[in-house]
Amino acid sequence: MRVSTAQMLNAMQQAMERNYERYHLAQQTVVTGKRIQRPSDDPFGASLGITLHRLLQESEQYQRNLTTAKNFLSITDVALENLNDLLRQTKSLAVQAATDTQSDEGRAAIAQQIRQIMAEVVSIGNNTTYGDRFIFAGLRTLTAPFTVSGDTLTYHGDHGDLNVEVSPAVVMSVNVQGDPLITGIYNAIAQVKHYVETNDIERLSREGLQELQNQLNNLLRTRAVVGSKIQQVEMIQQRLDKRKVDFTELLSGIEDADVADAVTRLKMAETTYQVTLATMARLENLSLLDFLT
Amino acid sequence: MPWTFFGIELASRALQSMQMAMNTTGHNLANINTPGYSRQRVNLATTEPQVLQGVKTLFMGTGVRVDSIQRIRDIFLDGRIAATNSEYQRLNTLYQRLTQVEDVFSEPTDAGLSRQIVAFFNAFQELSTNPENVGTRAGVYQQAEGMTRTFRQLAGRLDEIFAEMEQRVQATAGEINRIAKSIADLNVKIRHNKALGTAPGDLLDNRANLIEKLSEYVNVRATEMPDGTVRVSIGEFALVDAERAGALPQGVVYASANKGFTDGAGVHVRVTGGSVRGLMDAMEYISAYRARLDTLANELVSAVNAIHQTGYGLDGNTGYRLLEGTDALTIRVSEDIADINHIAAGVTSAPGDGGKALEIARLRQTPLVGLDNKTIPDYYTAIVAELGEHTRAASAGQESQKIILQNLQAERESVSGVNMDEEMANLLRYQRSYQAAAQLVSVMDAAIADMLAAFVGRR
Repeated sequence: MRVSTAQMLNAMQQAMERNYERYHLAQQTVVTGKRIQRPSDDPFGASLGITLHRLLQESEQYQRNLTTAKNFLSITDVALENLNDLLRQTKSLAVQAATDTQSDEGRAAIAQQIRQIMAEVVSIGNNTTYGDRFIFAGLRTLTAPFTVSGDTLTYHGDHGDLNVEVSPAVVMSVNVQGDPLITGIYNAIAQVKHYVETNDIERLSREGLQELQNQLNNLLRTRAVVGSKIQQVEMIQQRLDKRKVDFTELLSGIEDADVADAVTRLKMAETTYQVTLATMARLENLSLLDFLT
Repeated sequence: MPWTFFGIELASRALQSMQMAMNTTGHNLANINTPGYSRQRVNLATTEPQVLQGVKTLFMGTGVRVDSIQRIRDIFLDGRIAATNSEYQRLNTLYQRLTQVEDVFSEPTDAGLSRQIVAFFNAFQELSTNPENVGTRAGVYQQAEGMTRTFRQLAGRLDEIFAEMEQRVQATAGEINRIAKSIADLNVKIRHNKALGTAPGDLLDNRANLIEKLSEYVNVRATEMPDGTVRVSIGEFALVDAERAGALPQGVVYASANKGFTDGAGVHVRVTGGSVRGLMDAMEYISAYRARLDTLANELVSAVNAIHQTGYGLDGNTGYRLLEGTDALTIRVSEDIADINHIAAGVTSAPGDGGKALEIARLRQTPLVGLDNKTIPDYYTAIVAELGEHTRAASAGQESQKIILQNLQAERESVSGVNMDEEMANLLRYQRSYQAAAQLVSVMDAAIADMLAAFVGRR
């Protein structure tokens, strides 16, 4: 084939450009460590990447939601345990008061202790907070839920559930409303106090103690529910942590360049480019002109 | 018998011919880097022999002449190069433009819309767990602001690119008309010269270059007429016919299969190749992406508001809009929630109620009828994936067309291009011939001098 001078130079130039482009791309891959710089590098991989990024980003939010849920539930759990102690104290005081040998002074002292316990129950209802939110107020979280006048407890909260999405499409209510739980406990204790004050041993040892036991049982059920929710949250947290690792790995497999491979390619591209340049320099010296004098 | 100065005349014809050959070689060497130049070859031929009548009839050679200066060119290659060039330019232009669009979308990076959308919904999740908090509300406002801004920027940049492309198409139409005029002018000159006997190679080269330039812009077909003129057409539309140059109409049609130019009154020039078609293809894609972004923005606004407007803000009121606007360019955070306490997190007016916020957060998992039963994130991801596919296809196409084009160009260079060594060898050959002819002159001169001296001596 006849080859014109320009044709040879063109071919060299094209080869040089092509090799330089390859060199440049290989360099970019090594520098950024990314296989996918733009959607067209791998449309399927890119859209998978976007989805995985989204899931990871959403997982982070779920982690925050779970932390909130767990904090709510744990604080509730502690408060319920304290209520449990107060109920037990009341019960032993009631048993003490129900004995015939008790003097009037002794009963008065017991009534005084029970009054103390009632104040503590109200205090738990009003002072259990998460940040500045009253945990036992239903959804009226910005107002202290209880006021007392005489022995009557009034609830100012509502009966709304505080729902938290803990994983996709799984919603968990994380609050226990102050009514009927705390109002029930308070009323049972107030009743006991009333029997002690009026020395009604008959009703104290039957209805009074029975109602305390009912409240204890009820509290136990509520604690079991809260406890199982805490367990569930912890399980989901672990699952999310694992999912995060899996997704990150998957994402890396899609988006990240194989470093060893990328460096090898860069080295190869570099060598090819150097050879092209050297050939070009040699070619320039090759002309009939150099042999004519 | 030949006449006395016959030999000198013969030598002088040889000198002239060799000089022309050397000049042509020089012309070739001078144009070794001129794009589109076709090398020229001096075709030498013997002159008419002289008939000598004697006992026998003798034919005596009378020397050399330049028969023609031939332009070495394969015109069939020109047609194939033009067609390939059009297709290459179409794909390359499309590829370049879609790359620009990819830059605008900035996926997959933190600046892309996809992460803004997720962040927006995450903010509502956060709000649902903490609806009383001013910081969480501010977070919702900020993310809504960020997401809508990204929508608007995206749409705005797409519109800019689109407008710039439309201008480019119109400017190119003007350029095509100017080139058509130049080709028509060259047609006239070439026809005139051809009538006189020869078509000058350099004019033909100029014209071929112009046609090739046209093929960068649009699909062209050039047909050479017996009188030396070319007829250049874009599909059915005659752009140049002998000395007449047509003008492309100004109207740009990009949104149908019949892409091209129209005057709105029946003249429609269908364009199937070249950078103009590449721009039109890109315009069609971009307006489709833009339309889908609009749909997404519109659906997002109405779906979010439908929930938000039935919820209660911390001020105990309901009916507030969260977002406003009807498309990607007008979507914005509503004035209604300029006071962030108006953000409606609750199903009720209880401050700890995050029920509505949760509903909005869960909207991201809900397939929407207006989005072809896709969820909001999936609908967006599909746009990006399609953009990626389009760009990749254009990239692969332009690469293979480029190789075909380069091969064809090499083939033409092989025929028409100048080889310096070859020309140097020719130069050497013509130079030696010239020297020999010069020597011939001096020998003839000496012979004549001798003859004259003999006459003078006898007198």
